[in-house]
Amino acid sequence: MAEASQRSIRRPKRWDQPFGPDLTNADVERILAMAPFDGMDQSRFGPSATLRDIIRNDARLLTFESGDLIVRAGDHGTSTFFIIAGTVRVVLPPGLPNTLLGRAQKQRKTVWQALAQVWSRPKAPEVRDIAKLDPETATNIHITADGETRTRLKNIQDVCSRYKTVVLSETEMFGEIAALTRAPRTTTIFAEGQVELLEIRRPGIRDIRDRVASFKEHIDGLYRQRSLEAHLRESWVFKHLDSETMNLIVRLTLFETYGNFDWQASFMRVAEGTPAERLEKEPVIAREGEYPDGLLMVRAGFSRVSHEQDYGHKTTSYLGSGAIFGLEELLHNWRGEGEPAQLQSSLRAVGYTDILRVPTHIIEQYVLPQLPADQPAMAIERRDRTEPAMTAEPMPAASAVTASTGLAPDVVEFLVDNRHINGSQTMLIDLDRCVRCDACSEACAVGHNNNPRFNRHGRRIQSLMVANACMHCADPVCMLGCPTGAIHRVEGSGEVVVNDDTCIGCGTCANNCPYDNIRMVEVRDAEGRFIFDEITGQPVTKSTKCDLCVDQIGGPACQRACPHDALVRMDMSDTASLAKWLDR
Amino acid sequence: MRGFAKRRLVNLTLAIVAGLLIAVSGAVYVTAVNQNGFLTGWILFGLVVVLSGYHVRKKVSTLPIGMASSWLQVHIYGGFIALFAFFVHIGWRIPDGIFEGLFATVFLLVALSGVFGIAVNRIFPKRLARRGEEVIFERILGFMARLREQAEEILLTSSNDTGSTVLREFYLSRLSPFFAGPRSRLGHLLSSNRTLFEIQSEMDNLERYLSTPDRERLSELRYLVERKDELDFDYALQGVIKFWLFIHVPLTVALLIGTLLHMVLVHAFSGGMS
Repeated sequence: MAEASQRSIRRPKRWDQPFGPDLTNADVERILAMAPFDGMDQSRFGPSATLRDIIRNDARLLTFESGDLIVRAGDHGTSTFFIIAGTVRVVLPPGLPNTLLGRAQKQRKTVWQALAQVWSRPKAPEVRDIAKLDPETATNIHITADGETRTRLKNIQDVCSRYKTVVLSETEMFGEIAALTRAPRTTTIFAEGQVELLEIRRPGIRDIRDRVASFKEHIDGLYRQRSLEAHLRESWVFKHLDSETMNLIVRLTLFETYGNFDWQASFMRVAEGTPAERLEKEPVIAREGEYPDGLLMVRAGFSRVSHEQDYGHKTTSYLGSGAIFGLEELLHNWRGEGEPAQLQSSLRAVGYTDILRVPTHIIEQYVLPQLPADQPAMAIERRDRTEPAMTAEPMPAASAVTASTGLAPDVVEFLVDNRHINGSQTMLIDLDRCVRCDACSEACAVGHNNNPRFNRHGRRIQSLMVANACMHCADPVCMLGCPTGAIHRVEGSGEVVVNDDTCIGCGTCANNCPYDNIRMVEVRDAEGRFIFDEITGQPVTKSTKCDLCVDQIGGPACQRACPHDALVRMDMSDTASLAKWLDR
Repeated sequence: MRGFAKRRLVNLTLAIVAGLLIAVSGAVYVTAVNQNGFLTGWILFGLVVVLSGYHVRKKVSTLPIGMASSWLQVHIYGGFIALFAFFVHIGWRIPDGIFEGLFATVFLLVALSGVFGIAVNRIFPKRLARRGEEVIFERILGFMARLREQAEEILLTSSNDTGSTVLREFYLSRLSPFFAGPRSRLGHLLSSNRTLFEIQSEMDNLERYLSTPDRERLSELRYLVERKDELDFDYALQGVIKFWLFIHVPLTVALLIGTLLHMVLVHAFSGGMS
């Protein structure tokens, strides 16, 4: 009977949802006949994912009119563009001002304005100035015949004369590094005249890179040339090395990607599983007990460090961008201290992780002999605090544990399982001290026109609560796909904010946020009446979230308003501060 | 030494030093000028103004005038210093005049309610956190109403189905008042679970009289009783945390008015140096 009532579905497949509207056969043939696709050896692609399939399902054709912004510096994107027809202009540093990009200019309130908020707040929630919401008068946003929302530079001659730009034309591509490394776009690019582009999303680009040697060489070369040395030098291990040695290391470093780039889509489902199920879904980057074949550095994303304990795995720490793994084992083996050490912990991709792997022989030859005198001593001291390895012989601990968190294991598990490690300004509440007075919410409301931008509620472990407030993530998936660039990082300080004037209320950011920390609200006029779209008759909505009081003179009001030291905004990569805060 | 312990030690030391300075300077002033209570009175007035400033700080949360937590530390330790200065000011004696006595009583009540507030704010959050999932105070009554509706629905189903009088009478006599609103406030404040224990025992005894479907309903009611007891717990503790300020703040206002009156009287009736 149980079997009879069982429901079955067809297993979802990779291309059930193509990137754009289906390309016609003629489109696909036309694209394949153009550079660089015409030079690609199609036999290198397997039958399950041919180049033709990739173009058909992972790509879409877009047309931009003169002055339309295609990508903005600072945006997070997951796709690469190929110019099919027309030309685009790349704005060279320092780039266009925020006002031209549809972003808010960071402007702090004066003391008087800050004080006036106490009595000048509107009584109704989510009140907006209706004049600012009118796209005709307020912004340069327009909607194409296909329903795509675009931001247009009104006077591109003026832009070209005032800012340095270079032209890219047919068959050239852009956006590949940002798409593959999940780094923010480094430049703004706009259409010069009408331009037709082929946009390929990341899985397609990744497959092409994996199968076309020349393409891989091109992309890897660009990455090595532009970013790799800077990434490696983020770590104290490489910081002090001379240029010649660094050039050699840069040449021989391997790039690897683990996990699912679109992790946010499946995060809630994964988080609800058992610990074993969660671990199963996290690809192993380095396995406990294996010989360390290189020094691993997390370039982007997050990873879990764990070791086997009885029938399960115990998470001992987590690593984010710039952290290294495997150094202590390499150091131990290079020094010849007793038996060769294997990896004492496993490293797994949480969501997705980009790894730089510097081969062992390079590390032993060029890096270990030149380690700074102070840093290794610190590493070894940390090693003593780790738990005993579960082997007969006493072994040195893994370097990941050397970067020991100082946090209780269950707290580490909780933070990793729920991906709170992504936060750079995570709101933590110590429920042992919180008197539930809501001074934090009230202060937030005062600073945001009577609208609190967070909920004093959230997942908790023991007396630690991670409140539903924007964490200003290191990997801000909310920023993927915003059609107007309204959600963006503040230049310099890095807060993720929404420009209310250019937000079109599409809800992409709210749907992308895996933590439910973005709320779509229906806005009202000064009299408290809902504002409606004159065409659809639907209420006008806006995306709202914590902006970390970016326009307030004193910083986050929630933290400053808490009289009992119960609330803090915490960078979750700073485990030392987190441990200190928890153990007060 | 951990963060809070260290802060406590530093603040306590500063408060003791400040108290000693007040005592010594008050004594020196009396000896030098032979004018009792004048200096300590003004010090006390200054302290009361500073202590009241904490309330203002809470209202202007958008101004960069320091963390509210720092202000609270000043408020707490300043309060202890003020209490000490008060006793120095009145010469460690019981006030004999009517106004003096009333005024001193208000001052002591403000101080006592403050100490009570510190204790409540330190003890109750821990107890709430240990209890697990909790409900925001403003929503508790709504949740209670929902539980009451669910319980009544169970009873109605039972009446229509089996017509059990036992369950109905038990509900009317015992559960209906329990679900009607917040209960056992004092019990929860004192960590007693007597009410829950009694209801559960009565439910255990009731089981023998019930049919199988009503036993299942009783078990559902038992679950609702437990949820209601948790809400009562939250309501009792969160209520005290919220409402002790309704004693402390009005008394402070009365104290400020009394202080101004006291100052006017003192200066009006002081005939110069005695």
